[in-house]
Amino acid sequence: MRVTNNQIYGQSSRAMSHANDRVMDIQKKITENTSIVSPSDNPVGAREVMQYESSNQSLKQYDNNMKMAKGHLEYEEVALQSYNGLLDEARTMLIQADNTANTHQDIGAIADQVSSMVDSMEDLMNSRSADGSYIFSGTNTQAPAFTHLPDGTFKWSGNEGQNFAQISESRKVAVSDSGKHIFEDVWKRNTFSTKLSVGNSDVVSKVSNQDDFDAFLKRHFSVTNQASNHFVLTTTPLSMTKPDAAAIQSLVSQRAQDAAANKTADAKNDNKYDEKSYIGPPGRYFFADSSGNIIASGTYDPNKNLIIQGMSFSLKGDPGAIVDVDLNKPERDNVVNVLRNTIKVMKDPNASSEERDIALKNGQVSIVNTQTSVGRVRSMVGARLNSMTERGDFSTANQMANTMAQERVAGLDMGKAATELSMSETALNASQKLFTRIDNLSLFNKI
Amino acid sequence: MGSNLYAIGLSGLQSSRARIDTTGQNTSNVDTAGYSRQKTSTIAEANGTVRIKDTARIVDKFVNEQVRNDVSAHSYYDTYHSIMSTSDQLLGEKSVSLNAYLSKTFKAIQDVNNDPTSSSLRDIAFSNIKDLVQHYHTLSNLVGEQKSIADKRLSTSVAELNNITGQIAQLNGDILKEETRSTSPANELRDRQEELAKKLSGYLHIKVDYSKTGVMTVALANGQPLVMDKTPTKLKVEEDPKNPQNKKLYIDFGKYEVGVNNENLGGSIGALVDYSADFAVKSDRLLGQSAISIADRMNQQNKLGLDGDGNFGQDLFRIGRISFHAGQHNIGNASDLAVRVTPGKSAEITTDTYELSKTDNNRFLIKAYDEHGHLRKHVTEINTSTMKPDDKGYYQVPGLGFDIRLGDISKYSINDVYNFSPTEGAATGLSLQANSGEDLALRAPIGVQTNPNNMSDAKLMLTSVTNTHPDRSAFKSSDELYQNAPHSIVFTGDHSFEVRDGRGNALAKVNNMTNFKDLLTQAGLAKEAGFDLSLQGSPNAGDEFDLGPQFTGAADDYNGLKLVSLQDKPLIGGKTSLSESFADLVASVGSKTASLETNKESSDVVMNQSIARRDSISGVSLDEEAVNLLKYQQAYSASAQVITAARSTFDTLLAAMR
Repeated sequence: MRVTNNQIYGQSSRAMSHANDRVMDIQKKITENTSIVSPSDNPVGAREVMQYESSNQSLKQYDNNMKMAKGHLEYEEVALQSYNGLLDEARTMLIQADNTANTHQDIGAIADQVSSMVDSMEDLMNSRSADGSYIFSGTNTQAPAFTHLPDGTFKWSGNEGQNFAQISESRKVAVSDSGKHIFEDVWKRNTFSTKLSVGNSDVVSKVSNQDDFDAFLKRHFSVTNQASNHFVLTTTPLSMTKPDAAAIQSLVSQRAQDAAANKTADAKNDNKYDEKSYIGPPGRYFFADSSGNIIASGTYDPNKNLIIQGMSFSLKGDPGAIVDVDLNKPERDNVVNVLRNTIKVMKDPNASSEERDIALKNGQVSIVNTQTSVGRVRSMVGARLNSMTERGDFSTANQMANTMAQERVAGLDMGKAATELSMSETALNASQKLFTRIDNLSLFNKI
Repeated sequence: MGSNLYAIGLSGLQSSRARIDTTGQNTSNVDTAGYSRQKTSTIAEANGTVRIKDTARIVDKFVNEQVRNDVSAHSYYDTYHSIMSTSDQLLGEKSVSLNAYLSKTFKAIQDVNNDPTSSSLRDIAFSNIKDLVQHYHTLSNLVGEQKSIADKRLSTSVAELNNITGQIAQLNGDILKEETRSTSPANELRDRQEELAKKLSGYLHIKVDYSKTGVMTVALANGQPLVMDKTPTKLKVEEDPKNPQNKKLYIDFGKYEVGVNNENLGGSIGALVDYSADFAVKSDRLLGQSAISIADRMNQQNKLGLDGDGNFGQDLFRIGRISFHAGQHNIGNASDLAVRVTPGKSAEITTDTYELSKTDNNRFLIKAYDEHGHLRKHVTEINTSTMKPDDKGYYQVPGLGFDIRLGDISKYSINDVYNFSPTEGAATGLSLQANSGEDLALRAPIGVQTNPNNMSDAKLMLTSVTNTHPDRSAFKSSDELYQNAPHSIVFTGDHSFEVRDGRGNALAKVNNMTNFKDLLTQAGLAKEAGFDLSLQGSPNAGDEFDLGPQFTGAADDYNGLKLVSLQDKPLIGGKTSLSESFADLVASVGSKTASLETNKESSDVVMNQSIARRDSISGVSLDEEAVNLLKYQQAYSASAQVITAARSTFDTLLAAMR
């Protein structure tokens, strides 16, 4: 082949520029510490790296959301924990007060203590987070969750909204709980009312076993069907085997006539006759619902309390009476209002022991129900915190995996790069040396 | 006899002298671009003298043609690669990536969700949204700037090309003149002409031929002439009437112009035309599609919530006007024609170009062309006699994601055409409508209140908000529901409920429900109302739930979470998410650049090889010339010796006569 000057110089200059190119390229990769300096170095890899990058960005954001959510929930948890503690103490106090050995002064002192606990409860129900927002007032965080009405009641004033935090692409976690569900919508003590419709017994009734009664109420109470809330308790002498209203009616009127005759005779004898005291054989009772189905029946001692489904009836007098029993509609209120009422009764020197007893029971039941509600929310909060911890672990692992994948795709093998750099530098050196050689190679230099 | 020897010696001297001249010329032109080495050839005469035939270049026309072809191929890839690599390097930068801005924006909104009442967090989110809009501008400018550089380069290239074809034509004249005067060919002029042709092939892929008279004719690869004999034609760049974003080449024959097919032009001009058509327009439209998608979906979602001031959210972004281009041969002038993206239908928007034409008195046809200008199969029609425009005169074009306002139909003539592409310039046209962070609507527009007398602990939850428009939903205003809209849900039994209006009358009753999801849908009221609710837990008969805007609070983040979830939703064409779509764009730029780089390198090798072959034939080798010089010097001395010999022979003869 014929070799011309253009070829010789051209080739050597191309060799040098090519070697320079390589040096520049590898230098850039080393300074930027990646094998993908621009997307064209590895288009598919560049796309992957970008996707790993966005995935990491979102994961970081979810981490941040979780951090905030944990903050919110831990605040809530602390408030609920102390609230629960106060309820425990208040309950102990009430049990202590429920003792006939206490003097009025003792009970007054206990009432004062409970009162200060209720003040603290109010404070906790209106807990505020570090930024001053009310944590239990739903999504209306600028206003207190509970406010005092002019009549002294402590009333819910927030809303039922719940805030959520996105902790993964598809998962949201509630970061707040409305105080309405925790504190306000708590059942008060369930009760019933009785009314004597036939007979002259003295009817005194109360709930003797709250759990049994609650279960009974749960089975039978209906808002829409009033009839199902109505029951009839009939007592008869042993001779009767079924609750026959007409027979009882005639028995009662017969007795009334006898009694009136006795009374005039007794009056003459100047004898006091207590028509309600009864000494005789036990009676029979029938407890039926509004359509006459008998729920419970048996014999009873009129001088003892008759206990049916947690309800205790004291029916002093001759067997032979019809009593209407109505389940009272269950009501909800926060424990603060209930306790305030209890305290009022406790401090009232004119309150009867029955009144005080009922007040203390109301307080205790509300406390227990509130503790159930608080406990439920606390376990939910705990579950949320747990799931976030798990999610956080996963997120950390995921980010690590993403970063490693990025490194795998776009990472630079330093050793390899350094070798390549020195190789390309050697190549450059060689081509430069070659050029100076060629420069001397001319026949003209020799003739 | 003696005189013959003189003549022989003289002819030898002359021929050697001529060869030394040629060697000298070769040596001194060793570096002249396009110079082909010359050789003086001689002929031996019958009388023993030597005659100089001519001095001719040593060239191989086929090798030269190969060089031109390879130069134009390399120039195409080199030019294309050099423009593309600018975009490649910029898009690869992390700081330039759209995804970084998207992440930042959505992160800021998430932060506000954590505390929607904080105005400082809202301000941060707002400024992030502003940056995002700005970045769409930056990216589209980046593409646009590259395109305007390419366009400028195209027009200077064409001017340069016309200058070269002019020179070639003029050289044709000079060569004819010179070659009729002398026996030797016009070596230097032809070298110059061929060098110009090589330069020309750097701009365009050309074919070179020689006519019978030996002059050069130049034509484009497809046969359209650039130089014929002594007359060059002029190449012109003009806007493509179908798509003014693209440039089109024309050959100007003086009286008329002929369009040049843009495909496979080759050379740097071909590269610039292809860059404009394939990359610049496409990436601008992809960015536009992305901008339209995020703007539209964020706007729609924002309207479904309440903003920081408790009002219904408004548009956060404004999508720019879609411009259209009237056909050159239009008779009518439709001044009221307007095109806009159908709110909420951005997933249907494509990067196609559309052509609206009037086909008869009340029918308009919409044809779609893909990015390469190929007609799509599906054709849509607007029939003004059967379709009804909205109150602003817009017809919704089904399936295409945009509305068209025709205005006065009498202003259109049959066969008038209007071209538009909804995504073109949309990234630049994107602007911010919101004024402050308070405009972010994070709150749900409606809340629930559980009646305290409810026997169950079931909770009613808002599950969807689909419409808050006062004309088409339950919402009379941001703080009031219409009286006849659902105001409460009452469970009449454990598996039946009633939806009641503001006066307590039943709007709908549902019995025998099987699940507690989407109660208003079950009641057939969800669409009218614009929201829906589901129950958690099982209800008891008599349970009541009140609905109303008054039951939500300022810290609610229901709609904020929905806004944020758009980040991962397939917004673009209903298939890809925003960040995926940008990654796709970057990857496509990367792979295009990478393939151009490979092509550039291989075409470089091919070109260098054929240049080497040409050099091997026509180039000057100094060693060879040095040898020749010695050789011809010796020949010259030898010829001089012949004369000396002739003289001494003659002297000897004279001396003998004496």
